[in-house]
Amino acid sequence: MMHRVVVTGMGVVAPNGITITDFNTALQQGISGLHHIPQLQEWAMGCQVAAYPKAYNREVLYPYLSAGVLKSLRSSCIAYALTAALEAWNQAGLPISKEQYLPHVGCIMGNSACDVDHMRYAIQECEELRGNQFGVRHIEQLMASGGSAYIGGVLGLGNRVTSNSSACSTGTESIIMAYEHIKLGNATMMVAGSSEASSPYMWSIFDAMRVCNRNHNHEPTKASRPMSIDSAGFIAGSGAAALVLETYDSAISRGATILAEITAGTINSGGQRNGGTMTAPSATSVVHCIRNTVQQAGIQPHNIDLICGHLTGTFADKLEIANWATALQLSPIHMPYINSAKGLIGHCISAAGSIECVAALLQLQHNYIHANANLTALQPEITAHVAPEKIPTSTLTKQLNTVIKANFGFGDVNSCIIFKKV
Amino acid sequence: MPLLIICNTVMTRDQLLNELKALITPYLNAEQLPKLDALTQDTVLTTDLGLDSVDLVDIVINAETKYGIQIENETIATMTSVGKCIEVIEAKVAAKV
Repeated sequence: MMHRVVVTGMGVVAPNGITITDFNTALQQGISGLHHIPQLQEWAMGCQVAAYPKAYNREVLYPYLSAGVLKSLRSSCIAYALTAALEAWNQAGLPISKEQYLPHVGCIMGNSACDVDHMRYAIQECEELRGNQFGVRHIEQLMASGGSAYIGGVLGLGNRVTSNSSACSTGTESIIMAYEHIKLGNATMMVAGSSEASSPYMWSIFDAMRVCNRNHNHEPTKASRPMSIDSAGFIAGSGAAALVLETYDSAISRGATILAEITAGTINSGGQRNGGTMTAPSATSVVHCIRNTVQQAGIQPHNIDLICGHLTGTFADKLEIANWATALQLSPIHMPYINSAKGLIGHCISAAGSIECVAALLQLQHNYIHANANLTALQPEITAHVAPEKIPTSTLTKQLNTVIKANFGFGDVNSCIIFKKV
Repeated sequence: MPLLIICNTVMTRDQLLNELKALITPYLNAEQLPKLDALTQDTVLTTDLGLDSVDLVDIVINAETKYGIQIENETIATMTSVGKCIEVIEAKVAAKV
């Protein structure tokens, strides 16, 4: 028996909003989470801008962790993940106790590389001969599964507790994997999301690939410019988001507020063939991913109200738009509205998908379409596929019923999901 | 009261107990801190204070650094009570001297 799967809780640690309330406000009002990073300037990096949750204070975790854990907790990846999961859990109206053990509830919390800064710290301690005094709570923070392990421990989760990793597709992928797990009847409820550490090392390595915008170091909030004619690369970021997913029956039986239903999700890969490479997606597989998701949801393309794209601010934006148009087979004026949160939050790498799924859900819940920040003029290749009025530069109030979200990652991996009002 | 020479000063078990308290303090949440006032040689670090086994190892590492000693892994497993911790530290420091 297949189960309907709904969203009943959301949590976020976004560069421009540390809670759901603040993030919702930031999306509607165009508040940016991009900052100049002095460390990147010291290192003479070309791009000296990153998006990170500057206002984050880990004191929110104090009630949930022991003093010993807090004393050693350095990983922002884990701290963000746990913070987002706890907010989602609380929003879903679920209890937390040290005694609870929940065999029907699991967690998938993905990341890209756990916490590179923490790894660097550990290496330095060993190399400087302090390894024997290093302490004991560091392996757990260097584990790729650190985020899910912390969440599972605090919440007493007894079902599948794991972490996925698929580069920039990670966040949406984790939600789809949790959705599938519940849909098949293997769990009643899952916490799903992803977390990306704040790491100047990681940001530098992306810049070294010459894929980040080096033109706006002096005006950081303008550095992320998806779809704009003057875009010159993405801005790396960090943060986390988590959702509580559960069966429709579970939500109804406990009187939970249903935020949306997940009606379809697809994860696939282009196999780095047919134009796909380690860093670029194969158009064929992207189109298949989108089409399969629409088909699985049992809807027609014209039923989609909003596309929340991957759209990073690189030359690939126009290719992505062409893929959406090919997949949906709609004329430019009939294409759904399209936006990208990355103008405000940068590209949060593994956390991009989960944070942007929260953005999609907030727009669905509150009936608005946030502006495409820093979009001065559309690239002409984009207007060939989508009418300009469908890519708004100011926040619109719109009744939304169906939102589609996709993310694409290095390794030629794709994920696409559909959220629908219940 | 047995005496122990640490860093050329003579320490009593009570002094060592106080130093152990200082090592344990950072691992206790606010609600656990009052338990330190009732600390005795028989206090069990896990069940009585609420520490976990990972905290205990961290505390032992900090003690190693403080007293300039090395405690074998298999000995750490025996350091479950305050009295046993003091006993091991005393022995290691004495062996060093």
